[in-house]
Amino acid sequence: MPELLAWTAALLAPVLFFMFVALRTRRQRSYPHELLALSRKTSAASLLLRSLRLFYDSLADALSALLIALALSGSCPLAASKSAVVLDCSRSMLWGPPGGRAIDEAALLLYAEYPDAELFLLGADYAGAPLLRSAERQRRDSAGPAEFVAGLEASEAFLGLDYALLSQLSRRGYGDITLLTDELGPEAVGFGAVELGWRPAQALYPVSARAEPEGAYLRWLALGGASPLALFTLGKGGSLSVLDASAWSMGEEPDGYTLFLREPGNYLLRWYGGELAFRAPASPGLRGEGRLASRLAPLLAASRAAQPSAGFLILRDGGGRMKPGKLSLARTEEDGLVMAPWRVMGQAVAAGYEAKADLAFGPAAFASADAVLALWTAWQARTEAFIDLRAAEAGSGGPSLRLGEGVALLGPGAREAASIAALLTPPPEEYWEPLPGAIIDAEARRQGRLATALALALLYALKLYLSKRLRS
Amino acid sequence: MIQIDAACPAIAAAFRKRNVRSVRARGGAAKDPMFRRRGSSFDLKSIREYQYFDDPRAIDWRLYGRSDRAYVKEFYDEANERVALAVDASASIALVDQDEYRSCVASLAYLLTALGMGVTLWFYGAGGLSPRLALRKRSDMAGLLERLQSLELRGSGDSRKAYQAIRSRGGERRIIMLSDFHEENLRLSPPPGGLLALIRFRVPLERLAAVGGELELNDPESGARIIQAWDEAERRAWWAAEKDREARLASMGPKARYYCQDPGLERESLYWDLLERLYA
Repeated sequence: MPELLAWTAALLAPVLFFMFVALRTRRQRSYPHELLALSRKTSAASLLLRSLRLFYDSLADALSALLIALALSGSCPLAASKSAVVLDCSRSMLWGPPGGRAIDEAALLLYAEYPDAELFLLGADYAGAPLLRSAERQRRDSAGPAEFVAGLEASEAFLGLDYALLSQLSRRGYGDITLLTDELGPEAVGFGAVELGWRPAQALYPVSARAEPEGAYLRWLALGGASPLALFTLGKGGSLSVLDASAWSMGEEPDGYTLFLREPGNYLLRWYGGELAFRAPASPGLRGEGRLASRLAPLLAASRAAQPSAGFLILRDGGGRMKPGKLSLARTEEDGLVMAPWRVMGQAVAAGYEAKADLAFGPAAFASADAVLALWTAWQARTEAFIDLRAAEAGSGGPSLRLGEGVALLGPGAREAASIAALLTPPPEEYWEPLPGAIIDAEARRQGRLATALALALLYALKLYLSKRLRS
Repeated sequence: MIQIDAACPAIAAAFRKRNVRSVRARGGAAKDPMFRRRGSSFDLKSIREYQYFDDPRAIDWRLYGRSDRAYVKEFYDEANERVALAVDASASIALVDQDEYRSCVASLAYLLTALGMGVTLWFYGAGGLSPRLALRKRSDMAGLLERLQSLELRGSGDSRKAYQAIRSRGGERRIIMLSDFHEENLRLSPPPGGLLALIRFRVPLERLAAVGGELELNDPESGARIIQAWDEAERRAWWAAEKDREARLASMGPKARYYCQDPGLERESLYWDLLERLYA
């Protein structure tokens, strides 16, 4: 409201000024109108109040100013007030025992309290790209919440999600947006969030991977008391084969496990209640794009003898979050936030916020010696260990295959004979309860643009019409 | 201050030498006496034998006594020598110079009464046509001046309706109307065998407001208000419309005469021309 008032005042000021000038320069005279050869008085003009007929010009300008102010301040009443309900389809919605998961509760709510709102799914597709799509048809075709959830589990990838997509709904005219999620963490602006409660994950999650001459070492965090059951090699078409005992070893750590694999390649680790496919890395390469990234990349590479091999991590300045094979960086003026512990191995490192980058460094982050850990873990954890970057970037060209909690992108060819081009895993945010402190702004500032434009056009058409009718 | 124009006594003296009575009756337009309209004047047209459709009162009884046969005398129609002055007293005429307007009315009445023509004055404005004011001799001028002095210009006046009312109620065949004639598409038919003179008092808009900017114009009769752009193009448009209006007012037939009085214009030629028309 203060923003609306400010815009209204700012836009009305010139209107009032011109009205004042017009009033000051306008002269009043008495003269028979018939002698003016005016366009004849019309019934429409006669209907208007006398004062309106004198000041219709300023009135139309003032109404236009108000409309523009409403549009600029984002409180346009002309914006459509359709309601939408958005279902979080990230991996964290599946944590918990069947029937007690957040997705089950959300489905019940959907059918009970949001039968009329249009349903959208917020998640990621099988290539890992963030996705927001209508699921109204899916809901109609399902007999009830249970069938609906089963359908979702069969059709959706359940990897990560991008809240920024919610603003698309505002732009598409949805005024009432409700997100059904397990735990949002940040503050919701421009939409409502129904939080169903965080369920702790019972899973193993790889947080780092490093390639040594003798083999690859992967560090796994154990969540919810999960412990490994079996390890498999992933073959063509996602086929599993038991790994020879000499090819691997596992050591227990205070918070998880360290897995040593003699050969790089694709593997699958199973535990009670889940499994995850991963890639044991060869020595990764690193490349920087952009001013900040190109200065950081050599430093990072120099800290360890990086050997160009099958995988590359491309550091770049900005350019999007969660892009496969790329870690985008941004330099911010302020860094009042704290980096997620899994990024910096539990150290306290300051962080900024930039929507278009994976990592945002501010002055405090650069002053911290531990900030490089964020790059290190990103390099280690999000690249070579899980995704064949070049294949994912180019598109695998083949079908997708769900493997436990992740997705395998198969190469071209027959499914059974297709090699695994890339492995996608849910992002680490899905495994830890989100922290509050940030803001997710889904409000579209330019909502109701078409309605506002139409209203303005009508207003100016009326102004033109009155101008022709009331002036000679 | 209402004053009879200074040239009026001289103009009246010049026209007094002419015999207004010699003007033949206006009722019959024909030059041949046989076809001139019958009436009740003292001009004998013919004597003929009584017919069954004649009025018995028209029988010449003295002739009947001498000839023992009934004859009737027919006379020419009596010319109505009176002149009607229709004076616009609506609110719009208040825009013109009131001294000029009222002095013109008074001067015309003076000239006509000085020349022996009876004058009937009609004022029209708020409430339509006011009761007539008849002037027969010069001494009646004092009453007229007093009336003009106290004349209130208000309400809306319709020249067309006023003219029709004067035609139906007065019977004068010579009518002089003084107004601004702001009515759209005004069309008046002169009385048969008579004369209609339209004296228009005009106030160009540019005299009220210099060209430039906007005008908020209040119609003095309807009270409506409009905003009018007033630039050079509008000024030219105003004059173009004015030209059309004048052409329309000046084309009401051979028995109609149109005079336009702009502010400050001398009126002597108007009086001369008007009297010439009345004496023609």
